Amino acid sequence: MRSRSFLLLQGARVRDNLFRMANSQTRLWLIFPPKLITRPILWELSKEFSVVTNIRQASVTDEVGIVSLSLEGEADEISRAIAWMEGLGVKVDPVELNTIAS
Amino acid sequence: MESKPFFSNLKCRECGRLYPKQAIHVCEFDFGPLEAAYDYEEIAKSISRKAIESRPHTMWRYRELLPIDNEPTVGAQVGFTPLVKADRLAKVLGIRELWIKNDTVNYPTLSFKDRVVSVALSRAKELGFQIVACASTGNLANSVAANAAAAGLKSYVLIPSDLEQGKVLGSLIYGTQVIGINGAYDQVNRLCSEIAGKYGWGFVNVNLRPYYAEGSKTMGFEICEQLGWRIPQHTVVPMASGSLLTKIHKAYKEFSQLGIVSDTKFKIHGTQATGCAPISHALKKGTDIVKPVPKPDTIVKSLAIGTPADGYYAIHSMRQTGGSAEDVTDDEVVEGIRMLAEYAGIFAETAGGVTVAGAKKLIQSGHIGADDSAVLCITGHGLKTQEAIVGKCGEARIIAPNIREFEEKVYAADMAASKA
Repeated sequence: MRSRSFLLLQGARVRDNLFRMANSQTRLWLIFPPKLITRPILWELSKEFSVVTNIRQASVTDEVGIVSLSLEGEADEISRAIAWMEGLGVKVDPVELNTIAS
Repeated sequence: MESKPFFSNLKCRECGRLYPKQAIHVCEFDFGPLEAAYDYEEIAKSISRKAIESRPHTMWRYRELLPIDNEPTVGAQVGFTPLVKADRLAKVLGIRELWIKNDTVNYPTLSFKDRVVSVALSRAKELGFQIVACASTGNLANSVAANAAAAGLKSYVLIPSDLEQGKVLGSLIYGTQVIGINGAYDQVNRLCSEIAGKYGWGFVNVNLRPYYAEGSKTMGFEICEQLGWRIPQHTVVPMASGSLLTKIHKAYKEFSQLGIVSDTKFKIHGTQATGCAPISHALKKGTDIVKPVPKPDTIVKSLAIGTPADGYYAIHSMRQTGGSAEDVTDDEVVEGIRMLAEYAGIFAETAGGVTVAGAKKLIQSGHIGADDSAVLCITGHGLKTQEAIVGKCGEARIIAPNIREFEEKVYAADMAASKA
């Protein structure tokens, strides 16, 4: 019979794997139109959704705001967060920008 | 040729961090794009004009400067397309000397994409990929499908589901798996990124992009060699993502650094269609922040990229070399296609029209001097975008099957017209 500690270890591994399966990470470029540049959208995002935001680069002028962002969380939650930003008028692209070539 | 480690690392274009030569494409720290880095000291020992001239007439004659470890296994016949001296077109455009780099006849799918795809797939095989893929609406899909078929690789082509049937056929014929995705462009775009990250496929323009993009350099190497080992004064390049322009710049710099060509001054100019000209507009405005075009509106579908991944770097290349950017309307594109066909005998797709019409404007505005010499990069065959010129190049004259009608309606009419 397997020891209790072995079973506990197995249980922890299963939980770990479940967490990994549920969690995903998405790398994005966000492009903000002028009207949204001053709004604290990423702060609102982290209040509204269970996602971890991690900014890697940002560049803002009076015409456009460009932010590279890592989003981590459940895949569905990430999708909802992206849809919410798009609904506000933020352009959300994958980190490659264009995966669709001519 | 003996294989040596000419290709050393991948390197972030933003922060310069080095990465191993794997199927990765962005820097973990700043999400900057990765590109191939080389050991130029080692390359200098192996490459020379004489060595290159002794090799077959394909793009692989510049093998040391391409990011693969061993001999190429895909697209061995690609490249070394003609560089055509176009005197009649030069006269019409008002420039002393004009050359056309004619990738409309690139092998096997009649566009410059065969260059990038053969490098990406050769590297994909080295990295052990069994399945290769791309998301494309045209030339790239055809090239991946054809080159993968020839190499015995399984391939997937992802397309927006509303793509015209004609464009889909050009990929289906090679036995590739074509998957149409329902949804808006942005959704399809993000899904492709997700698929590329999830299934361990070799996505040529995503996780294999650092290798793929380097293939474009061969267009620049060939131009130098075919001009008699010199960098042209002016090179005019169509811009979609802006990658081709930056890689032609890199090619000129590498040849110059290796002493294969003299370190002469040169300018690289970029052209776009007015309905989607984010790079051109940024350069003209004097900024390097490329403002996205949310809804491209042009007949030049192959250049209609609203958020160009290499736009920032293309602007730097143009600025560094003293080059300019220009954009042209759809009517000017059609005129450009016609001029290239009527005065140089080359039938190009719409991107070619953008290059010719853009060059015309650059010459007229003095950005390219009338006494100078220029090379125009023509990237794909006109048979691929025939719909753009239907009804815009005249019509056949119909006559009855007798000689009298020919004489009256054709011969006599044409003689009268030529006398007038």
